[in-house]
Amino acid sequence: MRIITALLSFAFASSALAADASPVRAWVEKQSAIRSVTADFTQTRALRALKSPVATPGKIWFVAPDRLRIEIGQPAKTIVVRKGASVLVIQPGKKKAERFTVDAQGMRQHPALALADLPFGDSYAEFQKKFEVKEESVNGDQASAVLLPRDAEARSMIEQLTLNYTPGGPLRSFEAVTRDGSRMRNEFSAVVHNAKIERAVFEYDLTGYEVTDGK
Amino acid sequence: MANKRWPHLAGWLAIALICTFGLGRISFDVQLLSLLPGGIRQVESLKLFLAHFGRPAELVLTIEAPGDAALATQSVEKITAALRADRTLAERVVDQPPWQTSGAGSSEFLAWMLLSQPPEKIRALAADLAPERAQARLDDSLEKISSGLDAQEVALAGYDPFGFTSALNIKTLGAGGAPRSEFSSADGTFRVIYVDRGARPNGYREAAAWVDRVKTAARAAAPPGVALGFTGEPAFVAEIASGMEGDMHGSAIGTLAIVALIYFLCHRRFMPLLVLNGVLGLGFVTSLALAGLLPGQLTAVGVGFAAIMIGLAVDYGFLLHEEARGVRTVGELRAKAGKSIFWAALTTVSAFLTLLFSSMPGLRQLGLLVGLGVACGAIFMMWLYAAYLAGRVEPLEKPRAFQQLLISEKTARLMSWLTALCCLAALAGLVWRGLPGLNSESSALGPRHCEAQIALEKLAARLGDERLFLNIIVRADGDAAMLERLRQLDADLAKARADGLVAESLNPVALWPDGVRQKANLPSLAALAAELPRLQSTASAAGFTDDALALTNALFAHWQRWAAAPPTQTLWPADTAARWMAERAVSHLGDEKLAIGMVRPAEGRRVELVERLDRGDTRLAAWRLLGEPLREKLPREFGRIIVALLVVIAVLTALAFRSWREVVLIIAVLALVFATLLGAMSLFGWQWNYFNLAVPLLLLGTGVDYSIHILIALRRGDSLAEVRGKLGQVIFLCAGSTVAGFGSLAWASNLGLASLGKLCAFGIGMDAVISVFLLPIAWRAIGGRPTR
Repeated sequence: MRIITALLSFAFASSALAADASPVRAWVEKQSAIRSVTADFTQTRALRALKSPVATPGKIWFVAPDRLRIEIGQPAKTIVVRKGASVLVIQPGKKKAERFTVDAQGMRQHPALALADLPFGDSYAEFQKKFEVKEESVNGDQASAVLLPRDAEARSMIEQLTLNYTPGGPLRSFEAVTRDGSRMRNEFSAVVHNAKIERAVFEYDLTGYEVTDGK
Repeated sequence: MANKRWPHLAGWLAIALICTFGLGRISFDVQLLSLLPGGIRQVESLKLFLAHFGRPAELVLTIEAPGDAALATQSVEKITAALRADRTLAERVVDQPPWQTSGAGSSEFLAWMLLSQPPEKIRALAADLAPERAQARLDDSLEKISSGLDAQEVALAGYDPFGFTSALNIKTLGAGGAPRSEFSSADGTFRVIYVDRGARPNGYREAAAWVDRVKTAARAAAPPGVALGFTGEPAFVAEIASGMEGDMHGSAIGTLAIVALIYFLCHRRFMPLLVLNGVLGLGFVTSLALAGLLPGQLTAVGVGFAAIMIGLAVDYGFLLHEEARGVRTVGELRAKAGKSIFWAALTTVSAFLTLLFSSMPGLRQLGLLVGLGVACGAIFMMWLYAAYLAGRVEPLEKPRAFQQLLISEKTARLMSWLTALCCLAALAGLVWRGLPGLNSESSALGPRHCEAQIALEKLAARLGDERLFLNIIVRADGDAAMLERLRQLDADLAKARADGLVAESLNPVALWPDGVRQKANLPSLAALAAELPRLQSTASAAGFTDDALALTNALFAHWQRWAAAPPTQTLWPADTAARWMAERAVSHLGDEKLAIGMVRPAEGRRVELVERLDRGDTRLAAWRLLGEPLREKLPREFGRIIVALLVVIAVLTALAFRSWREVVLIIAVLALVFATLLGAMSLFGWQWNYFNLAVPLLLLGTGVDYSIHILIALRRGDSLAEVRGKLGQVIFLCAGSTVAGFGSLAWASNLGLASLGKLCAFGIGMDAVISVFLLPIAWRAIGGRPTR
């Protein structure tokens, strides 16, 4: 999941395709120019355990360097809010919240913190530390890259990651295929870069919630 | 004539019997802990840990492919396949967590753990699966699948839609800290394979042979570009024991060779040399056989001291050879040399046997082996070598060049000054640099170069350093008592964590079955299993496939199987993979029940944590916990033994000389040798360790001989020049051979043994020159006069 969510950090990059570099490299290297992002997404999980895929809509707000809000479900079933080093994982339906901290070493004890630990890096070298690029292709305004996570634990679960994006534009979708044949796909729409986002988006009123410290 | 032969025949028969029965019983104990004193809680705790969780049949194979995780994976696959292909090589080769590869094992393990949950929890689970509520459980799982953040949680919700595993609260197993993998580094470039032989190797030779076979097979299968390492107890046993065997052969053969060379240079005769070596060999084998007849195994110390026995026993041969000049009968020779050899052997044997009062098994063996060796050596020399020499050694027409040098007054003065200056320099060093320190690290006693240790350190560096943790070992007589202790430990750990003493901990309480709960839960869970068709139908209607219910089906099958033949005792898993998982943390098969957990103390709070948790049958075990109790106990113990030795030596020399003057001089020589050794250690930066702390004892035991020989000669009226010329040569021959014996240990593979050899060689050398050049002057100076 950390690997899958890590890809979100590249979801909103816009770049011109550099002629002398691989498409994914050029695309990754442009992400540092992003100051803020809002987007809608649909998360589709086609598990072997399910007869038919489950699709869930969601929304994401990000302001560099470290403000983030992700809502999964409409109405939201899970909300992640990060401000600086503090991260809240909220379940509004259950009136529960867990509080985590992203420490100086980037140590994370909850998968949500991987998602909240934006940005993951603004260089291709950092991208390569996380992913091995197996193949790339460009077809008109659509490009794709097949990746493998370098993390051994993730690699033991994930067969392949596929990144679909517009060269010089945003990420369109990414898909993870697990070793048991399950597929998890995220498709993005209504991506807006560098628009002003109200600070209140990154606040959450926890009155009436049971808040625990995550371990 | 026949009457005279009987004692000889009886002697040979005794030797034959001792060797026949004793040599076959010799076995080696390679555990470092076997050298340490009993009665220390931390030592006992570590022994307990190694006995039950040391995994004597498991070789740990590490694979490193720098920067290339794919190559590492490929290597693991190839090596695993090669090791599995040869069924005589390993019973089990584990390259991935069994819960990822063995569905049957995992499901049995989970079914078994669920049986020990509180009955109210199981009742609540059953209630949640009732017809009117089962759908809510499925909805909860669907919500996790659609909006969960954790891939593992999502996967679990898919394959355990009714949420059986949520009743286990697996997260409580470990408190704090990131999870560690036993199989792979985070980047996948460092991988580990566990090779289980099945049965514990029968002795170190079998272990070494098996480890070699695995190494050969693994190296043949590994692709180029990967580095393999081998560690775990069999690798350590193979390496240390082979090293010890090499030390024994090397030091014994080396010493014999040097002794032969020195002897030949002095006497230029082959036959006496061959006979001497034969008698030495006989004494050595007989004393080893005698040690084999005694209970217990030989340790590194015992084996390493084989060389010392030879070095000490040959002294009597040298003395006999010198005294045999012009002597025609064996009776005359025994009468002439008997007093010196008797008192020297008696003091040496007594001194070494005093070590039997030590609490350190290694030292006790040292004392016993060397005591037996010296006694055998003295008896065989007086019996066999004296018989051979009588009438065969002609008097010297004129002193040899070396003797002339010793007799010369000019040389004597020069050597006396030089010896005195050496002693003064060492004493000045002692004043300037202070007493040498004590290195309490276990590495000071380990092998000089140990591939198994290097691999272990790499493993710790790449997969998380478990050496930061202390093992928590809980012992109990029965399952119920164990559970009670583990629950108490849970409470103690929680309190210690709240008080800031604990950074991370892992308590195996969840892995110890609760027999009472098993009995209470089994009927409920078996009854629930009968509901399988309804639950399958509900899950299918909610959109789950048959795959989603594989775990549920397996759990139900296990509960129904157990319920069909209810266990009379506490139930343990039977599947190999499930057992593998449980037995990493528990040992339940013997009468003694043990469980192991881990705790990492908070920074700077280790001592407090140990004081709080290490009580009764809950023990904290780690090598670094040994330092403090040993630092406290050993110097005191050595001090006591040294005093006892001095008393023994004083009493024996008083009996031998019946004069205070000689007793005082002998003690003074020993004190000067010891002070010089301390000074040299300070100057050269040598340190004490738990092995070479025995050096003062050895010096007391071996060094007193030279003073006895010199003083006996002086008292019988030999001139100073005669004493130096005749005895000086003998003593330098003796010292040369003993220094050779100890010095050969300086290259031993065991660092403790090597440091001991170095210090002893220095001390004996100093003892010889002090005895020859300073002792006679001192004897005269304090009014010593011949007794006839």
